[in-house]
Amino acid sequence: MQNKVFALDMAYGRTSARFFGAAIDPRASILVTVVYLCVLLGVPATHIDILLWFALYPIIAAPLYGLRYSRILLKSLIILPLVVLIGVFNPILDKTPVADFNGWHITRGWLLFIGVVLRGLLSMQCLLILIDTMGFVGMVDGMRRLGLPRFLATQLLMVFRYIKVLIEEGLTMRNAIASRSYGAKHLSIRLWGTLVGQLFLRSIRRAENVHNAMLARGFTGEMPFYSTSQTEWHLSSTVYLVSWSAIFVFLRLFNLSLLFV
Amino acid sequence: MSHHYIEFKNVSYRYPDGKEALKDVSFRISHGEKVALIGKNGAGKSTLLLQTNGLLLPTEGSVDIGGIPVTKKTLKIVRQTVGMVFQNPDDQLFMPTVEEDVAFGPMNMKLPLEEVKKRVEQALKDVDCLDLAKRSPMNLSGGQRRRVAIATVLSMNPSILVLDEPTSNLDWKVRDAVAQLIEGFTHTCLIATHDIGIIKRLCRRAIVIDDGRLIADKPVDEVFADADLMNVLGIDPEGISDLCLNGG
Repeated sequence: MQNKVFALDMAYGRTSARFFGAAIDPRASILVTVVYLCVLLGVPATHIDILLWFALYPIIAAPLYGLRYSRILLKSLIILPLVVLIGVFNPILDKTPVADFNGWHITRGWLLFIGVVLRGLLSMQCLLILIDTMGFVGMVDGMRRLGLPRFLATQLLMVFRYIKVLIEEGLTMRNAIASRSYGAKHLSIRLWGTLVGQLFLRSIRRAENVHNAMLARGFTGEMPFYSTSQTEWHLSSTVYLVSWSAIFVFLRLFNLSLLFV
Repeated sequence: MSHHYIEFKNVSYRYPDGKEALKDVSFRISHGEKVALIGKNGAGKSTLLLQTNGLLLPTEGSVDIGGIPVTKKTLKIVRQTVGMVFQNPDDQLFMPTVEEDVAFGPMNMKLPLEEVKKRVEQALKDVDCLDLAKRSPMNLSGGQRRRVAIATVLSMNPSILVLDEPTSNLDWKVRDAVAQLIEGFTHTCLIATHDIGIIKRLCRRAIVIDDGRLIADKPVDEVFADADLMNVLGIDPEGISDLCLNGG
């Protein structure tokens, strides 16, 4: 859990992506992600042959941003239970045969299921790359500069900050419990109810203290954004946005799998 | 005539749950004075401090900061005048990096970016933490966090500093460094503290509160020489003597 708190801290830290050494405006990174998601989600779920090519973006982009793709892939698996739940009824409800493979009948339902899972994983990987390169604060700042209302940007940052407060208070309580539970592995359900309530009370109290500190320094509801390294939009960002968008549209319109048939 | 004063006139404060935390408190702290605010836990020190920048408003009486009454309408100017350093630096540090935390106050004052950068640099230099600018506040030591917390307030160029237990949970070396820092301030200071050594080192005058009431407002030496007061505060008079002999 402490690693997760550290990871949240690190998610604060970065403010701009670098691509082949050039600083990319956060807005360009966000727009590329939006284009990727729109195009990806526009691919029919049964077109696995097209969807697979979209995996090129996270595989190529991750190392170019200084990230390990294996780590992105592992982290993206967190969404697996959700997408499996969404797609799981397709093989049951849609048994239209579409292909044979070594005697196995492949139904349209299974294609839909695989397509849903693939789209979910690829979307998650794309978002992870965005957050890992920009940090959550950088991403919100980019969205604000793209036109997200300031009050919404403030709300997002506050929610993120509150999650951190919640985790820190939870860690403190966990240590207190561990020091007095004599190695017991499980807590009673009744105790869990008390702990959850206490956790929220403590985190709200901490949040109130933080809020008072903010008010004491002139906070009036709008989060100020300060960065000594704020990236301006340069030609590199335009090239970055246009080239990736063109690649995504190309992959959508031209099925590269046909070259291998 | 100086405007950097704090004046409490018959201030009382009752919390929403009915607890009367302050009862008819009156005092005046003049320009440049460093005054200690002492009392037992639960005496009302923090409640009193929160009145100085309008985080709490008195239920009776009035608070005046350099001629400006503390009301809902004057909060903006009061909070630029009074810089408050909270007891727990973790409550005060909430931005991703140290420099963003220190910039938070000046940014809220809508200062130009260049001016904000200058103030951030100066404030961090004043607390000897310029090299920590890009670090996350959460990865700093306790002493560093305390110093950065002070910098977050200094960057607003307040005329008055209010500090709540500035040396709590610090080792001797860091405590000494923080005390030295406060010693160098020319601001009007109100310091709530249990640290007798710090009181004797930094302050000439002490305000003593007990159960929400102001029970003494005198020079520090007179406060510590008053056996009845020491009894109320639960301080061993012999311990004070030892501190006097050892220079606090």
